[in-house]
Amino acid sequence: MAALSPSPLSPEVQIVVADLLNFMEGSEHSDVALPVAAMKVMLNVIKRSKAITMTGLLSELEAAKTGMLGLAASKDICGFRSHIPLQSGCELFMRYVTRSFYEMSSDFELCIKEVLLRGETFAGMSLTARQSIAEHGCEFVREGQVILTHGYSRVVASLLKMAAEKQKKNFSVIVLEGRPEGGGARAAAVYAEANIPVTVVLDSAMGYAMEKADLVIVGAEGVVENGGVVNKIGTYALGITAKALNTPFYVAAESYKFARLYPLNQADLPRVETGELRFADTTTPEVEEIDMKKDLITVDNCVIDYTPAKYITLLFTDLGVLTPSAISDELIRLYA
Amino acid sequence: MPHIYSPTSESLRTYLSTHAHVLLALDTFLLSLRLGEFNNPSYSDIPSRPNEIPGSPSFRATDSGELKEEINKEGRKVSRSALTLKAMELVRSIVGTTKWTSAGELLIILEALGRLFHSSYAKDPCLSNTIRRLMNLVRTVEEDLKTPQPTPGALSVNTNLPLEGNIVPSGALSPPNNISRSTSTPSMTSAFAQNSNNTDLLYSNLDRFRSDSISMSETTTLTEEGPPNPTNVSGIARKLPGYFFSYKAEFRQMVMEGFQEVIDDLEEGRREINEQAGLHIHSNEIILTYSLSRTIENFLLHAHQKEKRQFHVIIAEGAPHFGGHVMANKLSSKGVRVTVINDSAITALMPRVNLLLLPAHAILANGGVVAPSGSHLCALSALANKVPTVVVSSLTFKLCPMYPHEGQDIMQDFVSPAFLGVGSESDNVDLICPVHDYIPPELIKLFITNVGGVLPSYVYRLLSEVYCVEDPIVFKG
Repeated sequence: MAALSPSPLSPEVQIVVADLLNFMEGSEHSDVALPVAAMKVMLNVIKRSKAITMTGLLSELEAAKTGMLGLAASKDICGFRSHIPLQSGCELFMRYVTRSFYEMSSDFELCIKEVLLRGETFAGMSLTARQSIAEHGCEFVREGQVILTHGYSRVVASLLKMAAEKQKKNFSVIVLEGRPEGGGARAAAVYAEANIPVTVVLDSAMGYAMEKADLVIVGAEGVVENGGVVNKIGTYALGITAKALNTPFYVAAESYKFARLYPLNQADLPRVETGELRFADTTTPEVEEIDMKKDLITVDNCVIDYTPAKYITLLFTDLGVLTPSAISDELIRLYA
Repeated sequence: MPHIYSPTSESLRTYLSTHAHVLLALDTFLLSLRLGEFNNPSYSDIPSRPNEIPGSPSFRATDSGELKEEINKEGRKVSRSALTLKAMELVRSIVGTTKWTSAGELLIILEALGRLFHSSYAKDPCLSNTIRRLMNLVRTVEEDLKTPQPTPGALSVNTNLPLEGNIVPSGALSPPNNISRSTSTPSMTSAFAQNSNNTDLLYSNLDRFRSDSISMSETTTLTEEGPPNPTNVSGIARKLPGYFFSYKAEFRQMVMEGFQEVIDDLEEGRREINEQAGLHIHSNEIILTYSLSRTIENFLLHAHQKEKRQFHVIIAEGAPHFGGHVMANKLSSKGVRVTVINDSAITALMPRVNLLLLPAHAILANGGVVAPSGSHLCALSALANKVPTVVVSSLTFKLCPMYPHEGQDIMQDFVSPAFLGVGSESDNVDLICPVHDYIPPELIKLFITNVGGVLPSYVYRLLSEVYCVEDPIVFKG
């Protein structure tokens, strides 16, 4: 593992990184979300830790967090996703440990015991959260509507499946194909499996598709302090288009994705290393041409963008349905 | 001593069987709800348009003048605040006279009442809102009794907290109640809570909010100090932690005091709104309002009589119920300058208007409102002319925890379209007469409420102050 990283890592960080990769392995198809994986890694750090004070333990956790973020920045472990949820998962966990410490009358031993005890429940965390979001959100899907969505999101999928399978609503879905990794195709397969009529369109067809849509539901990789969201590239454009056509724009996101970030523009987002732009299946002559003049052309393969709060109608979270302005309150609650 | 375990109509009746007079009062009230005795008279099926208008359809009875008199008289008696007050007093008599022993049992009674009210009068959210407010009150009192008061400003150390996750109602990541309360710095609490009295209440609500959400597994059980028969408990009480079912001596008195405060709030609401009239209504202004609203009537009269403002009110008549005519009579008889216009002239007059005042039937969780049909048009026209739209409404029973999609199903009301009077006998003409409009939050500049001026984006916060997310949004049986 160490060979993949640019700088030599301490043995502990190497274990942490291996742990994370282990948890993330095959996570594309499992139900392990990135923040949950990060929390599990940190739980293991506590199990191994020889620290005898809270300060000592926190510095070990901090090192683990830096290690994981370093890995995420140098290598694409998140599958064309940002590492914001990784960071928010780590910070939330550390916050939780400190809180338990105060709760347990500053008794270190007791606190660790308690943290490890409750830690077992982390495994089911994303599933519980997703279930709760689906219950809140599926009421917004109404009979006969057309729902536009972008790429693949497990939360959105469970929401739509609940509306279709549990509530027996008839509606159809238009999904944007979701370059560069093409999550839309995967989403389409999932919806078709649930007997939801689904249409796949090009990302560039979002304006064309919007006038048919009654509402837009997207997932999120991170929800930031002002109520905006960070999500797969194209979400920002989708938000603007929805606003222009007066279509409600909903975001479904678990509360462990709430991050203490306050991006002011797209450039403020953490850079995600994705390697080169891949022209997946369109090897047309024009593309060949571009490849040949590579030294003259810069290719910017950004995979995430930031959608400001003003484009978002409501957020479906496991805390209930929230207006964007309620997000900062919730963040204060989490980190106060 | 009878106990109640499930919030159904049957078990409430069994529970109340030893209190015949209370049961009778409840049944009488439910019956009058079902008979429509509390239906809003301004949307009554009988036209209130004066007979002498030329070309008025012939279906009107000769005695319609008399009928109109009676409706107006009734209208005084059966306003929604009077209905809410009546329901509250009924609830208070049930809660005050029966022998429940714990907060859990009281919550079951309240939920049962909520369901009964909902099934008898689903179209108006005011009763459900009041019940939900009372339920939150019960929860707050119980939490306060449970948690020892932390010393302000200091880190409280609570050794009573159980270590096993299974009795702590909060999930793994939730901040423990007393810690988060005591660690929140003064600046943080005061910067966000408008009313410092409410801070504690607010925080405890948010704690619940959070503990509900991030709890990763069913950590809440009723095993410790559980109810007499926990397996029987159903409805929201199933999610209550065990201590809700233990007897606490001071609890009853504290709850009854809280109930009285909620009732006082209902009665005081209008005065608190009126006190702001001077801030928003200035002399020589032209104010447009739509149809009939007693809140707006009082608001304008206060500005005119107490604040001595000389202003001009344009009232859109609000066809086909013509509440605007009644409003115009009431205001002009008190010396306010009034112009009545037909609804289709709203856009024509809007450029001259300084302020649009609208009433609310309900305020929804996203900051949108349900208002008399036709109000949305007014708000759109106001937006186009850069006229501020201000909604004047008490929050005591109109603040709803549901979002518009949920409201669409339960709040729209249709009344007899007889007086749309197209005069056609053909079967091919459909006439409908919906009563309400939904106005999205983007069109509203400000709410003037009994807790002060409120922006639509702030409504979510008020909701978390007065309601608990664990209580049902709709009291379905």
